[in-house]
Order: sequence, then C-alpha cells, then structure tokens
Amino acid sequence: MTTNPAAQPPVQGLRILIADDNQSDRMILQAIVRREGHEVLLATDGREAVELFKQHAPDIVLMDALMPVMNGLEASRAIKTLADSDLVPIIFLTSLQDAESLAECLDSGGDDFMSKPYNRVILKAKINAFSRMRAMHAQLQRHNRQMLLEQQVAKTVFDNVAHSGCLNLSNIQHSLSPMAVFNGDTVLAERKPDGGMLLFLGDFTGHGLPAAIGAMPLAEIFYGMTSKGFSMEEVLREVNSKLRKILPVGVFCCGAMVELNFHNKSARIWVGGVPDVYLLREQSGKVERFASAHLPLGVLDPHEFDPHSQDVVMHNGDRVFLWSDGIVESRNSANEMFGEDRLNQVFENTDNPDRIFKAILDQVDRFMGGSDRDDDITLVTAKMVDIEQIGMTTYESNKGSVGGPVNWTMTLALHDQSLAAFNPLPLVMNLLMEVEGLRPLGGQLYTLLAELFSNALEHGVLELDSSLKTGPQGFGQYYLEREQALAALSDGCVRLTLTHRPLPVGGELILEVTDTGAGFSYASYASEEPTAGATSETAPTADSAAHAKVQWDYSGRGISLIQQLSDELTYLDDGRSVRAVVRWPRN
Amino acid sequence: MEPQGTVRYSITQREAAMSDSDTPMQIENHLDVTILGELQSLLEDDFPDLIETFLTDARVRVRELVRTVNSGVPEDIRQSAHSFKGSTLNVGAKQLSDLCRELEDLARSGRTQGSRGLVDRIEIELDQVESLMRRSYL
Repeated sequence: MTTNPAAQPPVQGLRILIADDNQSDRMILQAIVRREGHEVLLATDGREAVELFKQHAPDIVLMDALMPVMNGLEASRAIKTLADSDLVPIIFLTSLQDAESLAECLDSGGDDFMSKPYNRVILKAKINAFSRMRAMHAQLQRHNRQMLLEQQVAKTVFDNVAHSGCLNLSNIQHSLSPMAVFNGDTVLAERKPDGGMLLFLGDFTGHGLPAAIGAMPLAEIFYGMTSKGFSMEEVLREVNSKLRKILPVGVFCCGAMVELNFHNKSARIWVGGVPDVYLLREQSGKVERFASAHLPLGVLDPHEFDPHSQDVVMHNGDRVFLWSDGIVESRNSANEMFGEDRLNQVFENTDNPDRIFKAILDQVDRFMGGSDRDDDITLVTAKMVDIEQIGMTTYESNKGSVGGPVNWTMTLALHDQSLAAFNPLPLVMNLLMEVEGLRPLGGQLYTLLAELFSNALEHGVLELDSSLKTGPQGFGQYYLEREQALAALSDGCVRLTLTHRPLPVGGELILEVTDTGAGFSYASYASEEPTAGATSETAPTADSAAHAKVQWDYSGRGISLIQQLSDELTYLDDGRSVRAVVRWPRN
Repeated sequence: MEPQGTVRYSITQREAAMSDSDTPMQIENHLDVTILGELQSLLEDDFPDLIETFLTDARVRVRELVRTVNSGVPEDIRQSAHSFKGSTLNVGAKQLSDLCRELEDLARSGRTQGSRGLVDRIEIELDQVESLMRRSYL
C-alpha cells in the first residue's frame, strides 16, 4: 500500500474492548474512544475481557497489564489464541517503565503500548493505525484464501493430467508430498506397450503456480508418448522442446529419466541437473552412480538437445534411486545439510535393500529433528523384476469406434534417412488400435511389431552383431554402434505391410516386415525352436537370467518371443522377410 | 479502616499542610492543570463524576497500600504502588504519582525501610489533592 495515511478518512465505528481494573481509568478511556465514534465494551479484569471477547468479537483491545483475577498478559495470550488467524490488535495500557516488562507485554501477544497518562491524540492515532493494519490483514487473508482455492483447483487439474501412472506397482516406492507440485517436484511412471517402464523425477525451478504449470504439459507428454510406445529419447526430446517453448527464461526442469526393460534386463538412464542416480546391485550391495551429464529440460533449443542415455545391464533385485536435491540439501536446526556422505551411509548401513527407501526418509526426518521438516523430499526407487511380477501392460485406448476398419492393407516403406529419424511404431499402433478386436492385444502387438522392426533394421539393414549385447558394457556398446551405423546409413529400406481381414469368428492380422539386408539362416534356429517355444507356451514364466537367455538367444533376434506372440511365423527370402499372423480372439 | 496510629499521625501532617494558602502556584505543584483541562472538555458533564470516582477509588488504593506496607512484602507493595501510580497519572495528580513511583522503586529494590514514611506522605498528598480538586474542579 502506498496510500498516504494522512489522506485516509477518519476510522469510525470499530468495536473496542477496554479492560482495566481501575474505574477512573476506564471512564477516561471510554470517553476518548466514544468521542472517536467507536463502540465500547468494558471489562474490569482479564477473565471478563476474555469472556467479552468471545461474545462480541471486538476489533481492537485496550488492555491494562496488571489486573486482578487474570492479568493482562494472560488475557492477551487467551485472546490471541481465540482470534486465531484474525488480526486483533492488543494495545497494552501501562505505566510500566522497565524494558523487560514492556518486552513481556509484546511477547504475550501485545501489539503496542499506551502509557499513562492517556493522550487522546496518540490513542486516536494508534487506533487508526491498527484499523488500517486490520483492513490490510483482512485483504491479505482474502487473497490467501483465494490463492489456496486456486491452488486446489490447479492441483485437481494437475492430478487429472498426471494421475498416478503406474507408481502403485509393487516394484516402485516413491515419496512425494501431496502439494509437491507447488514445490515444483514431479514423479511420473508409465508402462510402455512392450511391458517396459519409464520413470521420471523432475524438479522445476521456483515455487508455487509458476513451478507447477510446467508439470502439466510434461506429464501429458510423458504419459501420452510412453503408452503409445515412443522411445525414451523421443519422450525426452518432446518434453524438452515443449518446455523450452512454453516456459519463461530461467524456468526449467531438472530431472532424471530411467527406462527399465524387464525382458532383456537393462536400463537406460538420462540425468539432467538432478543429483546422481544410484543403481544398487543387490548381489554385491554396491552402488553405481550416474552423474548428471545433461542440461535440465527446457534450457536448450530442440536442435541442441541431447537425449542420449547411459545403458546398463540390470539383474533382478537391482534398484535405481532417483531424487531431487531436497534430500541432500535438507537442513537440521544447526543449518547443516544432510549431504551425500550421510546418504551413502544409509546405503552402507542398511542390509535389506528393500528397507533402504524407508531408511532414507527416516534418516532425513531424524536429521531435521522432525520439528522443521518440510515436505520437499522427493524420491522414487524402482526394482528390476520379472515381468510376471508386475504383469504385462494393458494397452489403453480412448478410441471410441466400435468394430473399426476390418478389411484393409497398409504398406509403409522407410528408407535410409527416415530410418534414422522416424519411429513408425506409434503411428502403426495408432492404426491397429482402430480395430476394436485388436485393442485387447495392444501390448502384445506392440512387442511383436517392435521385435520384427528392430530385427529388420538392426540385424538386417545395419548388420549389427547382436553378440555385442551380452556382457556388462554390452548394451552401451551396442546402442552406440547402432547410432553410428544409422548416421552413416546411405541406402537400405525396411518395408512394413499390414493386412487385416475378417474371419467367420473374429479376424486376423498379417504383419510382413522386409529388409534390404543380407538375410540370415533362420533354419538352424527354427530347428531348435520347438524346445523354447514349448516351455513357454503363453507368457514367459521361467525366472530371470536363464529365461532371458532363452528368449534373447538366436543372435538376439528374440525369435522365441516372436513365436509366442504370433499364431504363425514364417521366414522368407533367406530371412530378409518375415511374416507373422495374429488371429483374434486369442484363445 | 485505617490503623489508629497512622490516622493520628496523618492528621497532624494534614493540619500542617492545610495551613498553607491555596494559590494557583500551589495547585500546579500538585496537579497537572493541562491534563485536567483536557479531561474536562473530553468528559463534559461526566467530569465531576470522574473526579468523585477517582477520589473514592484512591482511598481504597491507599488503604491497600497501607495493608501491603504493614505486611512487609516488597512485591505486593510494588504492585499496589504501581497500580495507584497509573490512575494518579491519568488525572494529572503529578505529586501523588511521583510519590507512588518512589515507593514502587523502593519496593522493586526489595527494601521496605522507608516505605511507611512514603505511604504517610502519599496519604497527606491525597488529602491535598482532594481538597484542591474539590475547590477547583467540582
């Protein structure tokens, strides 16, 4: 407020409580206050003052410090408690002189003093000043209520957009305060159509609505693209460009994204501006750290953005930990930070890896002494498990069409430049999900398509050796070579032909994927096939490593998996072309 | 009721005080006429009522002072002196409030020696204030 106080109209019509045990003093005060046009309530001791306050809710209290029955200090504490968040100024009437007694008056909730003898001009000025303060306070409260209301609405909208994804899965634990969106913190998790999972932890700069606002498009993109089968790189790229476009300069999102692949037991980790992501090995108890190698999301222009991740092999029971700087930067009463050393100690001192998540929260809580704990602690951890433990993805589609297109053929041929720049799977899946009968098979069809396409691209066109995938550096090395080969690609093509036709009962989808590569001798694999195919007729069942080996043998072409997912599988033209048939309803 | 001894003693003092003549000069030794003038214009018709109330209340306060001085507990003396000081300040009885402050300060230092003498002087001063107020303001 910059209004000149002198220009304010005289304040009138307040209800003022006078508490004084001395009758002549009361008379004088009452006369002064009435003269200014205010209503007067009179109390002769502290208890009466509190009673009158309860009954009549006066605007301002003039309180004698020393009174019988209940003294002014006690009464003022009681009144301040009753008033709660309302501002009820209490002016102490006193002839106290020493600083200590005056300070005690203020400590008990008093807002000002008025010394005896009472001065009419001064009292009037004080009443006016406090009246203005009350008006400002009331306005502030109105604004605050309005803000809380708006936050609630914003949070509801946010919750609708961000929902909880798959954070409730048994292999995920997370800590995120209900209002964390207004701290700028976000935790998201969503399944991919092939059963994999994307995990994201984000920390927007700033607080309040400006921090929350960016989380909405982020969540929308994350969920939409992940469930449609876009890769982690594509999701990151899209999130970055969107945030870059909509957020003002200086507002961005530090974050980490992890993709877990439960089939081939691997993870891809991208860290931009948040503390190191930890990978805890269950067998050895050792922690591997993945430091931030990128700028936060929303900083760089799309062409400068680097979505490359670190690839790592995981075993069942291995866990990733993602967190915002809230944990290491939380402070105790001595203003010390929790720090990385204490965090590492939690890992060293906790034997059961399942307990580490809770141990971290407990230790931070204890460190902060409980009293001053803010809810800024955002943490998510996910464990590598067999996919049976968390189930396959249910491919959800919002498409409303009933029946949909039932007899059609589509051919999509991707040539060298397109192969490097375009992922056809979401597009194709979008079309397949128009067919009502195929919707329940979404996850399975995605996995089938993804396998057939990547075999054609990586082993056919790019001629990559899948034996690279085994070994600790395997995936990293493999993806690196894949990228280099893609960049260097000058010819080659992958052709997808999809045909759907109705059958007397249900229908059938025929997928043909043809590449321009050298082909491979599928016969030798096919002869071994019945063994693998027979052991796992429906969904994969065997546990972890042994199973993964069966599935990912055959030069990494995942043939047994492909066979499980299709009703017929045929290799043609020396392995350059593959034809898979899926009929529905399945079984 | 006031203890017998105190009454006898104070009567002698009172007679001594009364022997002076009332001059405007003397009023201003005891009363702040500016404050009283302001109260007069503030309270208008209620002003005499205020003076009567003050004087009645003051007698009660002085009796309380005498009681606490007799009991000899410094903290009690301090509180009642402090309380009386407040109301005397408000009606401009400046000599009276000075004496109250003196007694309050004495009691705050934890001493009681000299408090009886001060209470006696307070009683005499109250008599003086009463007669001055009655003569000039009622």
